[in-house]
Amino acid sequence: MSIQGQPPPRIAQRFLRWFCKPELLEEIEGDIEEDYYYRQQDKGKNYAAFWYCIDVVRFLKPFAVKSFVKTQTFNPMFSINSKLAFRNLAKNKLYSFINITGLAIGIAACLIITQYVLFQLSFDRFHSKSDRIYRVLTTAYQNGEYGNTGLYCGFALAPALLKDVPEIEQAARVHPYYGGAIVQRTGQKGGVRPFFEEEVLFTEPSFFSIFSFELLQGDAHTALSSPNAVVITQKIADKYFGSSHDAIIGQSLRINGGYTNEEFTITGILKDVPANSHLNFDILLPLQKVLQSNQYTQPGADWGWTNFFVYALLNPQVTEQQAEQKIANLMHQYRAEELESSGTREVLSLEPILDVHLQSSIDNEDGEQANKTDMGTIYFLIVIALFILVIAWINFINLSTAKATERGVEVGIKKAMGAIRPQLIAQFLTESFWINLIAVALGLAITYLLLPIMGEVIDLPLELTWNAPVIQILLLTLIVVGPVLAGLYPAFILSAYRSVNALKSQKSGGQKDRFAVRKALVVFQFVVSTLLMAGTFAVSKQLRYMENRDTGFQMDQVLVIKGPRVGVSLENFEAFKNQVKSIATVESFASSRSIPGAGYSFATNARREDTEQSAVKRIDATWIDKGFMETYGMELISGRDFSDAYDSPDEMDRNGVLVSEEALKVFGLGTAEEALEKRLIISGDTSLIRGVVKDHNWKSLHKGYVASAFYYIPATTRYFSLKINSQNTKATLEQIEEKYHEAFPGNPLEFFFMDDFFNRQYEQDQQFASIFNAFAGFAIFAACLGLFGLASYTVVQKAKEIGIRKVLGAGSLQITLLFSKRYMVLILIANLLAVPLAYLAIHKWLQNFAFSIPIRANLFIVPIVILAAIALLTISFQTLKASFSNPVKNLRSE
Amino acid sequence: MKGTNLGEFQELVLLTIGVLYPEAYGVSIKDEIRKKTGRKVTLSTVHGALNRLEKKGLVSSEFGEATSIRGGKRKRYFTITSSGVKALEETREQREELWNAIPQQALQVKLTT
Repeated sequence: MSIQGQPPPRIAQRFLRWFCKPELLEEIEGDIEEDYYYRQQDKGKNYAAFWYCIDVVRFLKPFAVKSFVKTQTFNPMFSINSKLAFRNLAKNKLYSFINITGLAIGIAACLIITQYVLFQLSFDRFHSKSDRIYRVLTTAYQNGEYGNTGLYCGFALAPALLKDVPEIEQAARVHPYYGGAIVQRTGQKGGVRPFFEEEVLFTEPSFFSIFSFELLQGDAHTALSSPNAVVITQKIADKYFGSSHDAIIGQSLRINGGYTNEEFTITGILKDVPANSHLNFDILLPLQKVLQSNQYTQPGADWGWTNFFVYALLNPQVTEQQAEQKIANLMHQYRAEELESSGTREVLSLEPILDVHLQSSIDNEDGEQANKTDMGTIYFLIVIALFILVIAWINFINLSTAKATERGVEVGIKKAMGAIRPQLIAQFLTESFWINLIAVALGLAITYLLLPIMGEVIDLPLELTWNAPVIQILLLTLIVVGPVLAGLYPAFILSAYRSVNALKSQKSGGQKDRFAVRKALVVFQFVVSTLLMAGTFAVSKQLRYMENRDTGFQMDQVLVIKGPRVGVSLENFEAFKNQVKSIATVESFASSRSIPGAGYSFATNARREDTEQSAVKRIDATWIDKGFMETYGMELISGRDFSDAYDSPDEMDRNGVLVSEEALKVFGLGTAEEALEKRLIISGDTSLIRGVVKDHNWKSLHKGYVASAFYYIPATTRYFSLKINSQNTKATLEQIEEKYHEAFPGNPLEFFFMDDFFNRQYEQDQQFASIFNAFAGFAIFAACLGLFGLASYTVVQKAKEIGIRKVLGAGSLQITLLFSKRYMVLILIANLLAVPLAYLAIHKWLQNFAFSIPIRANLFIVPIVILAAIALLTISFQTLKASFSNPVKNLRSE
Repeated sequence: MKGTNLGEFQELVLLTIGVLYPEAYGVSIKDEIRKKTGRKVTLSTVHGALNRLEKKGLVSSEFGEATSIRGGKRKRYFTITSSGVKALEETREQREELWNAIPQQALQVKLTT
């Protein structure tokens, strides 16, 4: 045979020669090349060259790759380096402690945040088809202007989707059990305690084929197909039947509420809904049951009652855009007339369920029961985690380089004995590796202990998960990259010592530059610390502000009872009302359809009587009775409230509506006095304005004042509010409970205090604040540890200087000031840099709130002063110690 | 050591070396296995197996002639050593014992359901 064609690609050949074991090279190279020439003959040059490269890369296997480490010197070097590292750690116990703890805390903080972020990102991913499940959203435009985006729709939508859009494989309607239900086990002798359940949903069988909620007992296909079936979670099974779940299927529960009042047979037991599900429920009832109710069998109910929401499963090969195009105008296909006459345009869209938790585009917050943390917070936390890690590494770098002078002698001797620089670098890197490894282990331990506690604080089930790839990669990075990143700079600095200089004197060239780097790093640490500290301060101030701000209601000492569901009549309502009012400590009583903090009862369109149809604006409304304004201490600006009878021949006029001040502006009603006697057309009905209520915060302070209306209702059992005038709430409560059970037997008493309830709206903010506080604490602690270490080393280095100064007559105070000064200057610089950044960040955050604290100077001054004080304390601990020391001790040892 | 136990692929390589005797070297072994089993084996897997086999002492090798098609590199010919033969025999005996131990009924599985 003779050489034919081209020689193999040079680069691949050289690469092979470089990495391959010399003893194997000849046969391997020969074999690959032989194949190469055959291929060249058969399939041409390029094909052969390509496969030549692939073949070479394939030989990157342990058996064929030569050892790049010179084993003879490496192994002993590594072990002697490790030995030296441990000796060094043991020798400087304080230094090692500070170094390792600082790093460990940084790592722990980073891990904890990662866990939290992972949890937030894991929402709804447990469904096996999660990438194909969408929520159908409706965006309404009023006369071409954007109105709102919501998920509620009529029950006719899902069948229409399935019929007209083949891209949608399955759809499931969900109807919440509004107002909750009283659930009681039946078929038991004696009294069985009823419970009030809120997380109840009506849905259809396709629910189980779309979602992956696991049915432990029962059949997913048939569990919801009969109208009197009920599926419960394990939690509910435990609650009503005890821990043994063997004979539960077939038993029945009586479910009483606004939609049902009958027995249901249990057909399935579900595993509890995971905490990372946006959809939360304890009990599932068949949708056909609720569709049979009067409300939904009226004409026009199919699109008119928008109490449902729809989940859709797309076909695997369909994209979101394709399906969205098809559905966008579906509403107009079915309801053209109705929509056109009111000038509304409704566009349907799809929202991936993976976006629901963090990036939902819904903007009517009333319907959403899931807790929302938005994506911004997640990014923010990731940044904080990185900052803390960087602070910890900076500590490490600072402390290591600060020790340079001491280690200089060691380096000098080693160099004099013939050590070369790579060997020294290897030594310091080994040291860095061990410190990092210990810190990672300690950090893991801290995380393991702290995570459940943190989880409890923020009310999330957090625990250390090893199997998440992100955590594994993070740990690997911390162990492998960390030491190199943090150890490289000190290693180069330390190994750069000129042996003569190092041996000759303690001071060596380049000291100044190194100190500059160290200064910059300290400044950076304190910039971050100041930022976090100012942030913490602003967050807690805003929270306190929100909790204490006058909302327009008097909420302390108001007790709210969730009204009865079973056996309610006007007589026993009146009886209860009179009984309760007769209790001496109950000042007033009110019943209403909603209460502050619970949202309005509905939102609808309204306009002034004398304006065009197209002038409609949004108005929120609910129903209250005569006692409501008094109980909540609401202020009436003009007109009469409902307790003040109004004479009019027209019944509608006699009741009228109360509107908020904001509504005057929105609907152009003029002043509070002028507005009286004017009429608003709300949802098609004309209502006379009988009074104007001062603006109030019915919802959290995130939202501004809204145009709202109060309708009159003589009695309702949704919420009872009682103003209590007593320090002894317990006794009053007992009395109320007794009367309640007397008037409404069979109803569990559920109550809460209004101020607690209202402030529960800030749970998310509080969660944010507690996470923020914890990590600001972490960062400050780590930064101070670093400062402490640095100060202690400076003091040791300058022991002689201090001694001489003392001998020459300097006082302790002077010396302390002298040594604190340089660090205080650094902190001052850090503060100057941090303040504008903090200002921007706080300003941005406060924009989340309609009512926020003003950004004043003391928002920055207080944290800066506190931080400076902490820093000063840290430093003076060392400097004071030095200044009190006996100068003879330090000067003698020349 | 795990003794002379052979991995499935190693057994295949070892057998192929026997088949190709005395012309067994990397490329020919690879081609033969591809031809006989239809598996997409690569040179590197074959070399890996050869390396293991040689370490276990089941094959021995020597350099042969250099050819121009190999860019002047010598081939390395592999032959089975006596312990290689023993290992093959043992494997075969184990298989046969197992085969014989299977009750007749077990092999009469109906493939249709």
